[in-house]
Amino acid sequence: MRKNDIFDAFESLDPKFVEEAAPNINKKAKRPLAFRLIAIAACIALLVTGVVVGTLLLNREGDQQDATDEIPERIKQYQDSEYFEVIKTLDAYFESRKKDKVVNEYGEGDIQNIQITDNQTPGVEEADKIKRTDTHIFYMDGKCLNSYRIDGDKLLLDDYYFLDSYENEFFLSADGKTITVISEADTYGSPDQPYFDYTEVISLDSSDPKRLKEKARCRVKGEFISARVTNGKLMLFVSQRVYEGQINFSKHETYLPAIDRGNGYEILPDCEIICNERMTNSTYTVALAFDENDLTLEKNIAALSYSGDPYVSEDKIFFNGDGRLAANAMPRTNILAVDYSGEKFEVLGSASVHGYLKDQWSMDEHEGILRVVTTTKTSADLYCISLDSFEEIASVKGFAPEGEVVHSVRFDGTNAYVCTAKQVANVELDPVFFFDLSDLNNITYKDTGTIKGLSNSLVDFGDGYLLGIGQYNGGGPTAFKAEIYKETEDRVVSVCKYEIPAIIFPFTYKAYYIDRENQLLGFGRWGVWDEVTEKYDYSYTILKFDAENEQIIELLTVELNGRDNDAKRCVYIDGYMYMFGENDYKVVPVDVDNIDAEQPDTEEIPDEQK
Amino acid sequence: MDDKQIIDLFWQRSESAIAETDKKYGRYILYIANNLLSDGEDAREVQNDTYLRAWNSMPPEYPTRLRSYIGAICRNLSLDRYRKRNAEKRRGCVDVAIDELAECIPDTKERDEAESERIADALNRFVAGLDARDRRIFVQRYWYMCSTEQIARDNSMNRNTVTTVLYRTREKLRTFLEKEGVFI
Repeated sequence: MRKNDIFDAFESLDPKFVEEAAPNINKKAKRPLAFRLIAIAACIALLVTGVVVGTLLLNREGDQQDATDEIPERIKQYQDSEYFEVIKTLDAYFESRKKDKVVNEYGEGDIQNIQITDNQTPGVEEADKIKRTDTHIFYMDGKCLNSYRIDGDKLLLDDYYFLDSYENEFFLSADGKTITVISEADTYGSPDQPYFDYTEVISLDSSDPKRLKEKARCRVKGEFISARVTNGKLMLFVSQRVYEGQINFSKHETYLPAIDRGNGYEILPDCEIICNERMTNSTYTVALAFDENDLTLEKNIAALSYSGDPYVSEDKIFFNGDGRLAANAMPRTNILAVDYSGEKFEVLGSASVHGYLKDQWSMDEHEGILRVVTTTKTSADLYCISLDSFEEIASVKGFAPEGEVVHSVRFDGTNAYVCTAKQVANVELDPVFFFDLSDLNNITYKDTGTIKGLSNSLVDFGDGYLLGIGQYNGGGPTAFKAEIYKETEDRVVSVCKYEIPAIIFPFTYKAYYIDRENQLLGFGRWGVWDEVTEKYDYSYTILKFDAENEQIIELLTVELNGRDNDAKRCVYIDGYMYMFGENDYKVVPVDVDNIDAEQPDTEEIPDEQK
Repeated sequence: MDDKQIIDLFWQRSESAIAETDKKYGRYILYIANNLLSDGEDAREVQNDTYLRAWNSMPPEYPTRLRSYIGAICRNLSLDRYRKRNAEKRRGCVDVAIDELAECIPDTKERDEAESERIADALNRFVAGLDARDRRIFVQRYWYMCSTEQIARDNSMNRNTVTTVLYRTREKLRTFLEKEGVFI
């Protein structure tokens, strides 16, 4: 027997032991006790010194406390306290800081959130890793939320705030004064405290971007799905799975949605729980509505066995889940509509459609009709459902070639754009469909015919153009592909495309910078190993669609550190491109209106596609 | 997204399978790879290789526990890379772990395939018989390749206690293997 044999035997260890022993990878290292004691002692010493010096200074001014001196109302109740002088001093200090904030170098007046994120529903903001005001850009770099002051070709770091988790997104309130961070984490606890995911919500005061301060915090059991802010209300969606081995029906928190507001987990108050008719899993999708400013929990609702990503319209949430009639039956999706505009969540009704949804973009509410696109067992369907009766009032079934899967959907008013695709001999082929939904009694559609590659996201790019962001796999390494489509009288045509072979590019839509006004597309990428530097070519690329010449050109590519393309962000402001990566950023002057006519390798469009 | 949904994505050959796996278990995989390789670049590459291996194996595989399945792939790939990198016999964390476990058995020159299976089976029965705390520490040390400091922090224990638990558990393993007649 070799001495390695015992070690090698661990390869065959029962997975349940591996699962039980999984470490808590978020747990911070505690500093040694001595260090903590010294730190605490130092803080106390500083505080005492400050108070003593402050008191001496006050006395040196020769003042007997004038009984008629105005004492602020907020501290009058403490006048009899033996520490009243300390209270007055501290109160005056904090008040003076507030005044400093009002008269600051950034000017008085409203700070406002200037939208960067390409939200699905106008007026319903989605969390992101980048937000901005007219003076600052806030960027979430891993665990660190950075506050950068914009200064032309420079960015000046004004403040930062550290979080416990690496998985964070955030909102900036409409007035720019509150940042709400949504943070994902999990805990393994002890053998008595079973493993569970939780989502942390942290409210920060950003009225002074040089001093980000925590205002409130809470934790919700469950894995973060998504969040929205609309009209000053934060809606958080989490997915909480209940494990059979963890259930103790005499302890409600083991099987019901729960929240920790600083005093341990308690079940959600007054939580309405809707169960899917067909239970295919033990997962709740929980919706919670908070006041954005102070995280007061206002209402909540949980949908059991509705585990798809919810779609949120201006006033409704559409939960969705597996609606198959039996385990081996054709795929179906159950949709549950909930109104969130009132004081409580109100269940409006439900519907069921064939097929399954790709993501939140597969649904859209427009003038009282819910439009849904699904992948079925053999093709793809489009449904129009009345939100009064929850009956199907129109549909187009089987519009995609056999075997194709829906890869991306975009609704825009009475138009719908769908990309379906399938792989044939390691090559992806996809048509893109344009639907006209203006007359539901006569839905018409056109398509591009089969073209190579597929689009994972479709973006209306103005002036009748549609941008497809996706990939092309011609049997070799996957290439990035950006393609512009437009509608002609009887079909959809590809106008131009841009491919970058053999690179890694972002998975998530939010990681792409979409600037419709300037027709820009930005994204992080890497792909080539540099033998000299011994690292990959981490970079950021900006493409521009030149509508006049109907071509896509590469405006710039700059080195930008960070392997995670989905975490990189960019924004164009007043002639400068600000790009953010991992512990890195770049500021590049760009004239988006006077682009160089020099062309990169843009593939010519074959005549048959024109 | 729960594990079943993610595995279904693999079976549907949907590209979002990788994204969802990364979202849910990306840190977990990096943690394992970093413990073995102590190199961020190598760990990231192993992470990518893990996704590729998972993509190629599902279907036909349909694991009951995705996390440990993915974790095992990552651990094996990390070990391969570690061994390749340490061919010069630098003394890394894996060598330390092997030496610790080698206390439990004598070293002979012969390799017995059937014996390897018996050892694996015996190891699982031994680990099942440990109490929860000791099992957790033992697996964290020799499967996750955590340092004793990491284990102490994770279990809110003193490092010396971890070392003692590991020592005693290895002694128990030696006794167990003797009784099982796993080696002569």
